[in-house]
Amino acid sequence: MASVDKVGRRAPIVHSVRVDKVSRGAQILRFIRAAVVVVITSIMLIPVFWIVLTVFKSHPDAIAVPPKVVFKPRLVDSFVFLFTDRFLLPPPKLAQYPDECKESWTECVRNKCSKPRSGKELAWYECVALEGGQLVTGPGKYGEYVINSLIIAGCSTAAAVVLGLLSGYAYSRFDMPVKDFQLFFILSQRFLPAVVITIPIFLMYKDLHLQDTHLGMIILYTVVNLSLSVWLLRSFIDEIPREYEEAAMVDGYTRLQAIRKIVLPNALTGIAATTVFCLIFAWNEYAFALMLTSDVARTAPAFIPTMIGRGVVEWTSIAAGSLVFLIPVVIVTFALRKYLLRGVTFGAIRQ
Amino acid sequence: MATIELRQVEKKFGDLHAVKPMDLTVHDGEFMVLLGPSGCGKTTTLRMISGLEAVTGGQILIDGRDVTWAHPSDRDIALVFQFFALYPHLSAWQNIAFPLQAEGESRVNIEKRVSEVARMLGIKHLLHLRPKALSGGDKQRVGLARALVRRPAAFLMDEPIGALDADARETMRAEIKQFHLTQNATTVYVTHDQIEAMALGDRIVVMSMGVVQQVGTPAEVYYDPANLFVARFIGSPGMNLVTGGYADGVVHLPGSNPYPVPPAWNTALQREMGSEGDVIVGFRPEAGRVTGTGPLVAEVYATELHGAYTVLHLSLNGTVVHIRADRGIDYPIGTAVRFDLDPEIVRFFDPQTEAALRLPFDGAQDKAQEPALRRAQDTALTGGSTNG
Amino acid sequence: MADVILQNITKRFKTVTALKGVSFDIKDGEFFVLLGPTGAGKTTTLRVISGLERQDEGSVLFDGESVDHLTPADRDVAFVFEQYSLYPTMTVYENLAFPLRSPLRRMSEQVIRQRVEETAEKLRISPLLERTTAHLSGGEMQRVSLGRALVRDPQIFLMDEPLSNLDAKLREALRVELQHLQKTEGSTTLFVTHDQIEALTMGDRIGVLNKGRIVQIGTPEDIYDRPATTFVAQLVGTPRINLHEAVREDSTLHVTNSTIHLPIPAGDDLPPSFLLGVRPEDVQIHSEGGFLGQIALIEPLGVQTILHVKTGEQTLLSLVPGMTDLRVGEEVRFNVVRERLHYFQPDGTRISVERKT
Repeated sequence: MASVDKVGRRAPIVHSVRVDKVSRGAQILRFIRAAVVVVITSIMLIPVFWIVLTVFKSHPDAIAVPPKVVFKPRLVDSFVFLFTDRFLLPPPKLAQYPDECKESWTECVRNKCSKPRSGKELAWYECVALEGGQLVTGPGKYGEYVINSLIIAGCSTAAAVVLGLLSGYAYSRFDMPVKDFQLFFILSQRFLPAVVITIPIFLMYKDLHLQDTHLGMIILYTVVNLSLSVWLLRSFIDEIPREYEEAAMVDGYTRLQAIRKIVLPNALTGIAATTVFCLIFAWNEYAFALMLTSDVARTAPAFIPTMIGRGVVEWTSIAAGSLVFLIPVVIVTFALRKYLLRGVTFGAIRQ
Repeated sequence: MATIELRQVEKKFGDLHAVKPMDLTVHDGEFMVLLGPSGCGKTTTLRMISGLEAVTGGQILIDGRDVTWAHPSDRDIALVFQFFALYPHLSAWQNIAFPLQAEGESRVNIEKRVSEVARMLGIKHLLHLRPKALSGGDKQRVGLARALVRRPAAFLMDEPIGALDADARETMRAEIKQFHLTQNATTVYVTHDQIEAMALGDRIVVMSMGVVQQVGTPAEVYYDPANLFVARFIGSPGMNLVTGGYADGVVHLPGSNPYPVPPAWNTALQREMGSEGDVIVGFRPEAGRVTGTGPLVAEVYATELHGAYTVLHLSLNGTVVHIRADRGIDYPIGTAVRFDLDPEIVRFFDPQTEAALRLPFDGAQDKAQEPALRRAQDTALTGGSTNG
Repeated sequence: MADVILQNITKRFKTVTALKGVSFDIKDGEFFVLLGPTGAGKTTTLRVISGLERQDEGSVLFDGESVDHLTPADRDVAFVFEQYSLYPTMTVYENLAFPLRSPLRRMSEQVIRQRVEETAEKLRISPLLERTTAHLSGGEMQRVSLGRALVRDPQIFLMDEPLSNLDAKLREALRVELQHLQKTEGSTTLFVTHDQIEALTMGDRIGVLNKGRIVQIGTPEDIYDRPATTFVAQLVGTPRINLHEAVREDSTLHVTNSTIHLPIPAGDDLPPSFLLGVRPEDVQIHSEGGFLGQIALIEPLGVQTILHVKTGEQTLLSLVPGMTDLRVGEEVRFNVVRERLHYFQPDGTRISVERKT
């Protein structure tokens, strides 16, 4: 047992831990941590920042070497180019337009310029095109394809989440034969990369007349997303105590009523997270879209790289296309952030 | 062995006092229990003694040596946790040997000391097992062995048996007490269970909201609680506390129940209250005696058979009091029952300060304990012939 | 309210048989407690009665009629769970109103409000009605859970260890309240617990369950005074009953390795070797006691004190009232109450003896 001599044998205590010192150190540490987070976040946001810059550059500025960070912003050009089909006016035709119409598009609008032959007044976006020496021939495909993307991603996400919720509930609550194998089988959907299975699917879809249709793409994305959503939602539902529904069932509700009234409100976090994951996949998917769609059901990701423009690669409108394309996902994620950040907290009973 | 001394030790988290400045001396070889509900500061106090938590004020001395800022490993203490904290990948033997290996003991010495403690705690046959193969009680025995093998100056135990089931807890409680009797090591033991505290402690520190409410022997905190908190917290059920108006030697309890104050207390009450005012009458369940001539009348609220005895819950016009009665007593709910209070273990509290009133002369405590002692020796709890 | 009969219930899970031919009946207005250690099958029994689990054999009868084919909702039982039965997304009021809003009941909101307020009054939770359940303390939560059962008028209340997650003081208070409520309302209740004190104090009758079988059914007095097996004897009573091997030689009883030898009370017919059970309160320290022992340990609990008395190689626990001034190591004399000795066969079953009392 310890005694005085043991104390004496020990080395004297040379260091002592002072609370005030520790807390100042902790403060500095906290500051450094915050600074590091800011730096990393900025680095990760550089591509997005660069896209935004490019959108507002004129074409020469966009392709300038070395890249320009300071430039004269062009606010609408790239968007007009994105949403319209144009052709480059040959010099003789261009010469027919008065100079005040070609100087700048604001002048053109103010002067109410019109087409030399038909005398039809130029719309503001036609003025913008004219400033770049181009004539608008009609609306571009981009708008159509974004709408395709919205329909396909939206429907397939909804389908994947609803189906995933029902089967996730079943896998969480019911006993069934070879349950583990079934779950493994479902997950195996994700084992092969898209590129490998596009050709067989293409052939299959051709026979089924699903190729280049909205329905075909919705089914395909739903199937691919389903494995993720079943697994995610099952684990979220596992976290909801069975007693909740059982109490409701004893209280006079059917199982489906209990699911609607009890499980759904408590699974909102999981549903939100799954929705975002599924949406991001369906929205960004490229390989299937490129192979299986050509025009009717073509989605934006497959289209953007094909915007070679007329004569030159229109980097500014590609950037504008990317930016427009980012917005829906950002909105959905932002709207659901409350659920995503809250995490799974069941406040009812403290353990 | 060691004396542990706390001088104005306090712990603040921001503006919040987890432990208000406290003084405490744990004597050499003493078993001191820190008792209180969760969040009362008892664990924080223990962690400050161990050095796992830095104090924000005051001094901690072990054997007269200031260890306030010493590293936990320099304090010559051993900690036993509630959740065993055994290393799951090591066998019981390796777990116990671990602190010795850390100190660089020789292999022979380690062998010797591990088998010594293993024999003492009766776990020799378990030494080759991994923690997950052990029962809760055995895990805690290994935990104790690991603490003991270092031969520390003092043991600090944080609810070491709180996670065990009721049966194992009872067994381990007796074992820890036995162990303390043989080792006589200075021990600071944290618990929220007042039964454990009473059964184990040489002295008990009752804490609430970071403040020490009372330091005393089990008999002191049981019979002479310093205030309402201690009165309620100690005992199962706690002390009955009934407010009534005091006037002319009588406390008027709810339900028009005049209770004549025992003469010994009358002067104390008059001194504290003047001639009249509100006072809280406190009595332990065993102080109540059902008699046909008792001055108090109440309605039966519920009856509980506890095996060897019955607890009657009586409603004094809505205020429920608990009285211990012989087994076999059973009244239907609503029956009016007369009862009396044992004048020797009735206590009085000031409703404003919540503090207990004290008798004006010394020796009140001895007198309070006397009847209990007498009964323990010669009377039996229940009837029946007892000739061997 | 109804009376409930269980007939030969057997329930198998994949690898284990949870219930093996469990039969008992609960009378209308009775407080029946099912007592047993973890894994005894108590909760399974409750779930079979409520319909959350379907038995493999046997049947459940409410008021004499089989309910085996009914869904949980149609059985009209109220279940109080150990935890997790309050909905965190709802307020206390909504939680209480939830069972009444069931499509089965079709109550008007006005009636619902009235019923909820009455129940809240009864349980003294009226001030909490507008709070969300996340802001309740443990005791308040369990009161609300009880309220959700009380708010309607079910056939039977099924309670699955509703007090076990509360701290000791709260448990004591709620125990008394629950008993008072049950007695004044006259509701049929099946209460499941592993805590023998809860069983003894609250039950009109107790069913002791072990490994899926009913071991004994009886009043608390029956269970405590005439335990059917050593299992039951050890399950009820704190501290535990003293259980020691003993032998009979002629008309004397010897506790093995101890100083206890006593004449066998007249009429007690005992086998040559058996187990002797003595409740700690029946080991009485007395200056003229017949046996000699030494105090090995003292555990004062306030109202009473546990003494560990060493006699020969055996240690007996003795429960004495109040505090004691005995010291560890002191020699004491003690007696055992001979009317309350318990005898068991070596396999654990009770040997019943004729007693004049």
